[in-house]
Amino acid sequence: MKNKNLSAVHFLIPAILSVLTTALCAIFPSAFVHGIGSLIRLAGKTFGLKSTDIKQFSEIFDQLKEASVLPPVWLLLLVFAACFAAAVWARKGKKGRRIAVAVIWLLLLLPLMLLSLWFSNVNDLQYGIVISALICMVMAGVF
Amino acid sequence: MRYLKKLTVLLLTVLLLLSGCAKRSEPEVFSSSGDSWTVGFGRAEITVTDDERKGLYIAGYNQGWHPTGLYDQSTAWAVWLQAGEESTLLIGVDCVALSSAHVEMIRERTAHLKSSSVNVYATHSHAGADTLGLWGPLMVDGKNDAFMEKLVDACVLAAEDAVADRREGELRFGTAEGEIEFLRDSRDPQAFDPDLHQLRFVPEDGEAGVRLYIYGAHAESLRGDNMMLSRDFPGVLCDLVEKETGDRAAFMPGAIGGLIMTQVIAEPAFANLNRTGQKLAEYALSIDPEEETVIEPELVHGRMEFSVPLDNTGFMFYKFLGILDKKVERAESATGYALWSEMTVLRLGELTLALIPGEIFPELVWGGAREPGLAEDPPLLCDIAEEYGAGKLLVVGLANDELGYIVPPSDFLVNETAPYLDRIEDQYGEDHYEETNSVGPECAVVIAETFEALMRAVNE
Repeated sequence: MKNKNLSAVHFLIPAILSVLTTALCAIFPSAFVHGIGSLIRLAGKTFGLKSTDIKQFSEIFDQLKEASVLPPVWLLLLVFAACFAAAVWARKGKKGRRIAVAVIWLLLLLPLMLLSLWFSNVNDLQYGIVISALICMVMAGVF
Repeated sequence: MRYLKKLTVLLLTVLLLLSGCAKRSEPEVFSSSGDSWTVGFGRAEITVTDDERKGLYIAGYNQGWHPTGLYDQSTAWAVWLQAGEESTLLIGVDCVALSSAHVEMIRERTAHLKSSSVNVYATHSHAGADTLGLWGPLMVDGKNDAFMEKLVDACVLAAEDAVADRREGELRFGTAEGEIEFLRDSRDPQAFDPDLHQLRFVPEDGEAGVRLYIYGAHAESLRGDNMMLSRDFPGVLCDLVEKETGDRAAFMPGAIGGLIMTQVIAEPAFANLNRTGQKLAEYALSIDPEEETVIEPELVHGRMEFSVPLDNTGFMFYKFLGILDKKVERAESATGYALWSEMTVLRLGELTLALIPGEIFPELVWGGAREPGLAEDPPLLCDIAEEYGAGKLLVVGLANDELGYIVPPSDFLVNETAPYLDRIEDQYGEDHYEETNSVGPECAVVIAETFEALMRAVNE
């Protein structure tokens, strides 16, 4: 069959998947930023790092628990639109197409969440800009 | 499709142009005059118990230092100044500095007093609790929420008392010539205003008046080893003047960037504190009433918001961590951001007060910068004031915000490896510490441009 006619029900699954993906991209920056202090403590315990250093770093980043985190709306809209289009296209095709789209979705999910984090505003400053500056300083031997 | 592309490009261009132009708000000006001045004064203590003290960090010098004792309680005071229908509330606090966020909080909480404007400044005491957040452990907020709440409450109480205290009378201006040897500029060239300036309100009913003192020195007579909470010399000065004259007194810091401080004239530290306060009280009491100028009851108030490129990555990290609560916007700068701040010009008769949101170098106000310099300095504030026919110009620092040091571009030098994080010494052996606590080299230019815009607006 050349063109498979899709009823409203067939758009439901793509819509759910798109909303789910967009929600993950929207929530991840906030969850990550608010939880950096805890992640540092966990890493310290897991890798047996120096406790005074861990305490100092986690105290610094615990301040972000109250930070205002705004994910990039433009990116979330793009993610939703792309996911929805891809899912509808997948449902129109054969099984092979659906598997391919599912694999790509899984592979791209984490990078998209990280991209959302990169472009999020944390206390009015773009996370990516602040982290870039920090990385430059570490590379220059400041810390 | 082509049409859509052209429209998108046009829209983006317009947006970019608009974003580049958003550097200053329109000046907000009001003025009025009357037959006499109406002035009121109020004061409230910011009490700290022994238990509460343990949760504070001492501001000004070292990071992570808890105060070990209490020498005297910090206070907040308010002066209501009115000529005709318009008024301004000048609220001062014994502390190192207050950010724009706390100034706004105080403004909101005093809105019911219906003053035409509220201006909040700090004495810059280096022996008070950390009210800015920079003196906790490294990169940890040193502010204590409970203390800040008490501070704001005290400002509101003081303002309410000032309103209740209002009386009519005469406002006078006088200056005591200070000894040049009493002050030092920690960084050459030596440039500072050694004089003590006084605004004195004499009420018609003969009751206690009000005296405001403006002096261009850091309130750090206790120096860096001190660990006791104190108002430093502004407290001693005001207490002595009040004891001698019966008038209520308040202190305002002048152009103290550079870094201008009083000399050590006694040992140990608390003897120096008392002797410094006594010396300034001697200056104050030496002002001959016959030589004071009577200020005509005319009030003109101009206020403007402006953005200044943020080059200091340290400040950016502190903003990221939520320690510095300032309004920012995307801009061309080393960090990609600019900070928003504000300036006020207050004209009282022939006297002009520039309320600057930081610690401005006197070289930028009166001159004396090193020549040739690393870059061109903006026009001097005193020259700008003269150009607009202003009489005497006085500078009040740390007013309505704290941008840090406002350093002349001609002498602005940062460490190449770690700009704004590590200090550097120049070819003359001068330590460029102030740059590490500044927004960037463009701040001085923006301050001068904003001052000129305000002078134009206020003198129209």
